[in-house]
Amino acid sequence: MTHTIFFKDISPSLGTRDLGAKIRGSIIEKIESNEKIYLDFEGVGVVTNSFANECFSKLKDIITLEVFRKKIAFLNANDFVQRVIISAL
Amino acid sequence: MQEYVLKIIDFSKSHRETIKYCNLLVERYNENPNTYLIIDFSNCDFIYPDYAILLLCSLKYIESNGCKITGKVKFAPNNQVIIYLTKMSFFENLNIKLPVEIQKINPTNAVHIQKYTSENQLDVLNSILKVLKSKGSINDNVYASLDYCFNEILDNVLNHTEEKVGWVVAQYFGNLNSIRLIVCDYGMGIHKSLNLNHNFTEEEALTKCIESGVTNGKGQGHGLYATASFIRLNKGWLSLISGNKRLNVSETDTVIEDINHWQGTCVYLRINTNVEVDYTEFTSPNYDYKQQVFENLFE
Repeated sequence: MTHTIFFKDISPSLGTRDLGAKIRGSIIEKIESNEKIYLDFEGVGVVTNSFANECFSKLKDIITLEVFRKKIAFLNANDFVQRVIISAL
Repeated sequence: MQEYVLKIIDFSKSHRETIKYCNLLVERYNENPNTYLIIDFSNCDFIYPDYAILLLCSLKYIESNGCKITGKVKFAPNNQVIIYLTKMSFFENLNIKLPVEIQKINPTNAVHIQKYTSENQLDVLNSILKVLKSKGSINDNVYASLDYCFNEILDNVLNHTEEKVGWVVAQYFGNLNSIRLIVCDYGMGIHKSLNLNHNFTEEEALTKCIESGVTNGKGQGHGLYATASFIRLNKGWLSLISGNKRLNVSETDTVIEDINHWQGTCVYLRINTNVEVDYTEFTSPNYDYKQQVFENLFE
């Protein structure tokens, strides 16, 4: 089973640490029961370093890099979003 | 009850002058909490919204110290500054009802003065971005960079102050291809905040807060670094005001100077909407060496 989170339904601009922490929590909730979590950034223009650090970097630390690599996939991230996420990881 | 007259014509000449008069006002209420305040708009026909918000933030600070501010607003009929500030919600935010009926500001040209917290932070940000988006001439990379920097600045205020509240106003000036935006608070200030994790002098704190990785321990120290980098590339202007110092950042200079005391932090930006910026210069620390490791996660 897989699960997809559509970030554009949350906001076209992902900037706050609070929001990053909230989404991290919802990813962690789904990770046990799913083989793969797809994070879909279609329609998202910008992600900040603060958001990416709080959401993805801390997620990687919590679930371990090995599980992160196995279960997390980023979809439809534009160049801006991809650069910021990779920098934060 | 003793009167204290604040003449806006003197007050609204520059950020330095504005902060001087805000400081005098705060000191006045410290000495005499029962002061009767007269805000006098006589002979004043123009004010930037960033000057007005500094006054508003100072009045909120005085109230937060337990003073109840009473007084009056003095103005001539059809005073243009009164009309403008009413449109910008200045008086509404101070709970002052003036006998003037005016339509609210065009939301595609300006973000009216508003208080923000973690609850409405996204709405505030989206209202700023709406102003930018309606200006078709803004380059896509500048738009993305502004989105990124505004997000970081708004989040900085909420994460680096104890009060968790800030004030923001923005105005687009089409003739100048420029946006003025100011975010201010009456929180602990940059010096005290950074010294939760460092041992800086006030001057060092303001100078170093725009360096990559300098943080109070709650963030990564990237927001102000990215903003300062963006401003240099955009040939714009950034002022950080906190305590008794102001740091000015432009394309060619980074200068620290003394200023009258400000009880928190102000971040002021003047941005050129028609000067292109390469966002890869400041959005992607560590990207080069991490790219190989993580890019296969992106499909």
